[in-house]
Amino acid sequence: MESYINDAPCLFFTATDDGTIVSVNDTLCKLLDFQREELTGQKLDLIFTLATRIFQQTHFFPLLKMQGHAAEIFITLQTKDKTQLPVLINAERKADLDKPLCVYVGILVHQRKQFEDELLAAKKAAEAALHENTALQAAKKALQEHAQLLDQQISLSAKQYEELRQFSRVITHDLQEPLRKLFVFTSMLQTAKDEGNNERVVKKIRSVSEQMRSIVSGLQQYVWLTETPVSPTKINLQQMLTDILRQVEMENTGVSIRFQTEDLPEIQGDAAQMQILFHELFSNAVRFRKTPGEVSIRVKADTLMQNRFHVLPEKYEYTTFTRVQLSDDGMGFDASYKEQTFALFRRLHEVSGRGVGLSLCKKIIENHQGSIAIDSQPGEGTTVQILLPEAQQNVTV
Amino acid sequence: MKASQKRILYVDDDADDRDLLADAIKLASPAIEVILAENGIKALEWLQSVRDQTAHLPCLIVLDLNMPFLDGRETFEQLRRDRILQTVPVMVFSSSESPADKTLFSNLGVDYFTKPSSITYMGQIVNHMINVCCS
Repeated sequence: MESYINDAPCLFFTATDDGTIVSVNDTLCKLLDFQREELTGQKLDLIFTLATRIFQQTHFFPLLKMQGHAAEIFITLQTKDKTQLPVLINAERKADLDKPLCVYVGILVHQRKQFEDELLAAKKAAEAALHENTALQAAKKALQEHAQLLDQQISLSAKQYEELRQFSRVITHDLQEPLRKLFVFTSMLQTAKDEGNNERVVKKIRSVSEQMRSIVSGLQQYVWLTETPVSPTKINLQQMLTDILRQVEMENTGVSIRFQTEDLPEIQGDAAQMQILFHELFSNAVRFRKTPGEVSIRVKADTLMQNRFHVLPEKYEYTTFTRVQLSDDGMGFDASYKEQTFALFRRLHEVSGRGVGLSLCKKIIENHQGSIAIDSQPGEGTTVQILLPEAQQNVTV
Repeated sequence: MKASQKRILYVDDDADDRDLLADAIKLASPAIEVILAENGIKALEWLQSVRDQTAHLPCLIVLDLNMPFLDGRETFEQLRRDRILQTVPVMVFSSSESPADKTLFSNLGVDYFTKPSSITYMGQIVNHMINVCCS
């Protein structure tokens, strides 16, 4: 054997078709800890592990015999003391000799094995991570849903508490007061020295009774809005507002309303409740007009993205809202009192009003998961801004 | 405005009550002028306009408690902060039965009257007010 092959940095050996070793190089002998004489003439089985022997018989040799060569075959050799060594083999079968000879060249691939193991481990880790990630995603989604539920419940219970507080104020104060006045006025009738005054007192009694009736009917409407579920439909806002305007004009003869609209979209909402809402807002604009015979109302709409979460801090999920803005050129009010305008039966103006109006509006908007805000300047008119989620749940067409 | 004229300032958002109390004061003592204000802001505005002429200050301020804009409690606090206005006696005339309100004002030495349900009792309250502060 040529000397450079003998100590070349590769494992070189040849064998006959029946697996008898014909020659080996020094590198192989040294690596496997055999003497050359211990190997030549012996079967390949001596340096092949059991698995490699089976592989050799079923795949490697048949391939070699059929194709004449085989490349990058991964096998395991064993040393004299049975230590296993991973080896990558290229082989060729020289069939043109009298006795066909198989020539094997191999290199030790300790590191490749290590890389493969690492790769396998990394793949397993990646799969596990992916699995965990999926679980994490699901947990996150569930958490988000729970957070939203919690947000709704917190805002609902805060709302209910506030309503309860307002109801108790209405009952203890707003209803108690006219009742007390009825006592005062009737006691005036009983002790009257001056009969001429009686007609005035009776008038007062009638007006106070009317006041009580209107409070009770306002409460009834409020309770109705609390108890009746929202059944949303698609609403043509332009059409609805035009109809309501006509109605408000009829109710306020002698007042001319200039009405201007811009880009009114189709909205989703409970038609009956929306009717009450816009009727109330238009009536307010007319009631609190600056000039006696006329008022102008402008309504425009657009869309914007808003956080769906109302109370939970640092919780965000943006959905599309329709923003409707109604502006009038009426007498307006001091905006620092705007918080009070939505409370039940709170009146900022001495001008007649049931005082229940804006609290009903707020209730309706909250029934639709929206929000309502009011801005005003004394003498500069009032703007009401309504935000409604573009899509309501369970819309019937 | 005559300097010798006695005045009572009555602050209440309820028009009926304003009429009733003003009538009762007129009935009990026609010489007393009743100044009416519908909330704390209007009351303070009027008080500012007479603040520097001590003779024009009212002999009594009657405060309702629950009013929009500036309620009776807030109005009272503002009055106490003013060196001159704090000298004017205050009485509360409110429909609030809240023990918290009653304790708050009685601790401050302020008479507290719950709005009456008969005209006779109204007359008695007004007589007390006039006797204590404006006679």
